[in-house]
Amino acid sequence: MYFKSIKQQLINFKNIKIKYFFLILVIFLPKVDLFQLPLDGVKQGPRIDDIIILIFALSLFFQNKNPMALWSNNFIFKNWIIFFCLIMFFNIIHVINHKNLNLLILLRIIEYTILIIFLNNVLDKNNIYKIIKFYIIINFIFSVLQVFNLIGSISSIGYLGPDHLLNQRSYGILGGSWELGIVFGILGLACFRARYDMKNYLFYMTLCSINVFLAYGITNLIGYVLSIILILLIILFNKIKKFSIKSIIYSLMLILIISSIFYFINFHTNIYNKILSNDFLSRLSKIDFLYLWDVYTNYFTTGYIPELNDVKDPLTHYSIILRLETWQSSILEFQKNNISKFIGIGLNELYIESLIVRAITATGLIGCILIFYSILGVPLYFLIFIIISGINIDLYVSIKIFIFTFIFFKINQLARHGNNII
Amino acid sequence: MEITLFEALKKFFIKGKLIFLLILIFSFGVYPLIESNYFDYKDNDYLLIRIDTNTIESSYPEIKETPIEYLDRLQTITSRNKSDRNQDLRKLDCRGFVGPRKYEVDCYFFIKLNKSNRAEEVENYINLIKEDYKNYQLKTLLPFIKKEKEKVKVRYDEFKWQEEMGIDPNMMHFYDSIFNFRREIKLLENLYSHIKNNDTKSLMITHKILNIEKDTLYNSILIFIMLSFINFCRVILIN
Repeated sequence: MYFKSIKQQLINFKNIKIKYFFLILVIFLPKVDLFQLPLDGVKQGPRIDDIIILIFALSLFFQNKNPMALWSNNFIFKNWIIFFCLIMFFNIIHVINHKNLNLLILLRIIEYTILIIFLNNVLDKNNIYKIIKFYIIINFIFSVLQVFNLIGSISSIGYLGPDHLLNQRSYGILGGSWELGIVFGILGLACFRARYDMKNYLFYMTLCSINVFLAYGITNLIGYVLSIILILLIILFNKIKKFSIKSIIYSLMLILIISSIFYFINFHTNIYNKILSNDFLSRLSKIDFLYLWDVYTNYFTTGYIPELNDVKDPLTHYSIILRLETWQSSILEFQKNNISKFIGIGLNELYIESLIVRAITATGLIGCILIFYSILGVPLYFLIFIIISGINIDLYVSIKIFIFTFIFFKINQLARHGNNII
Repeated sequence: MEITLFEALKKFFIKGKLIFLLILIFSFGVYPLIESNYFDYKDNDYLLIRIDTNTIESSYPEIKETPIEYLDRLQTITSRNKSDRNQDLRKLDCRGFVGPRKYEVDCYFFIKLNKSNRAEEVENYINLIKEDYKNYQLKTLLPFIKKEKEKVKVRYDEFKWQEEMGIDPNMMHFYDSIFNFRREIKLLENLYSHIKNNDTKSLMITHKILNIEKDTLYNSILIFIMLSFINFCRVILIN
């Protein structure tokens, strides 16, 4: 019986279409650089994901029976392809004006466009939930093993053993702890968005939340917590709408019981002591947001970036402040003339450590208007997470984050149209 | 409605052949033409001025801060917002930085530089800045030399006064202090002539081109790829 089941599974495996096999590889393969590009300042090189996308693009030419659709009415991310076209148009203006254009970002836009076509073809309501459930569990297992120093991590710099300095934070099967935090923030919110279609969504959300915490990323954790607070407020608001005396009495009693427990067992002191014993939480508790606000406002008014010696509590704040340096040339270029403010400065910087600064400086006012239009149908809690995480991380430089954002949008589409699409 | 690659390519190359032809003409015909005739290269060239705070000149406390002060001065005398900016350097606009680039300024040219005049103009401006810096250093140094000479004079006057008043002067102290002052004057005068006669080491000027002038063919190919991308997206999205 058991062998029969394995045989059946093997037959099923043989019947898996190559496009789904590619999908699994693109999503699950860790970042492995095939070789490093011989360019100054470029740390990464082509990866297996890139090769798969290239194979997919080439395979479109050789399909005789049932050719894949390049575009269909129910495909998503149409606005983003228009957005890419707009970026291309602005960059033609910049090239004509003899400005530098980073060829790698141009190639990435073309790659993302092919990826959109690929994901639109292969992701549907039958596989999307299975994929994210499996992905959450796999990553959770890897993260926990990494926390206990049982396994190392694979990133763009190769395999790093469990004792490596960079492995103090969990990576999961992703390319960095920052990526883990953001991808699982997106997946956690995706589970909530899919709450009517996904069984045990609370369980998977909990696993995602643990992963977000294990990634030890400050901004994405803050963004995630704020999104969850908004979600709780939405739920509370919905409950209030279904007003009944009985539920109010129950709620009051519950609040009374919880408060009494807190009061009698000195719970808050215990919690506080626990918080202080965790390195990440103790670092988080030391963040002076007013100080950071001052640094940021000072930066935008005078351009001043404090040096290591001038930074208040450098262990806590320096890594946040250090990112301002990557913004500087783009912001100076952006402020130089009015045309830049309208159409941006183009794709000339490979690394800008902020999605928001990247979006504003690279595409200008017109690009931002199109972005705003494109995100109108996206839930607010997701936007809060992306905006806060994007303050000092350029999210979409990572192909995995792009893929999981696509997955969120797909789930959003399925939820909005009652699973009737595709 | 769905569109496949075959249909898209058919629309791209056959049905939309006019648009494709226009893209080709614009990328490889019109663009090279306008590039050769109408391009304004202003802002492309700039001088990167970097100061070195570890030179022999910096070991003199009198002019130790001069390079840093000069960077501020350079920004002030070339500022586009000021009508009284330096006439020799009026075709430059220097911008300073904070953070890791605080010892640097970028000076952009506000003149049209091209292959025929680039080398000459750049050299001219480098010389002008070096000359201005030299003058600034000398101007900073002169008051110190004057002050030391003043001290010698005061000491002599004091000596004469003591003689007139019949006070027996402390010759040892007198010669010692005069010797010290003279030595200081000599040192500063040596520094003065050193600055005047030699090329400065504390100010390094490098000519850079902000946008490396890629050859026309490269730009044409880029424009062709981007226009084709836009057209292809148009074909697949509007069908």
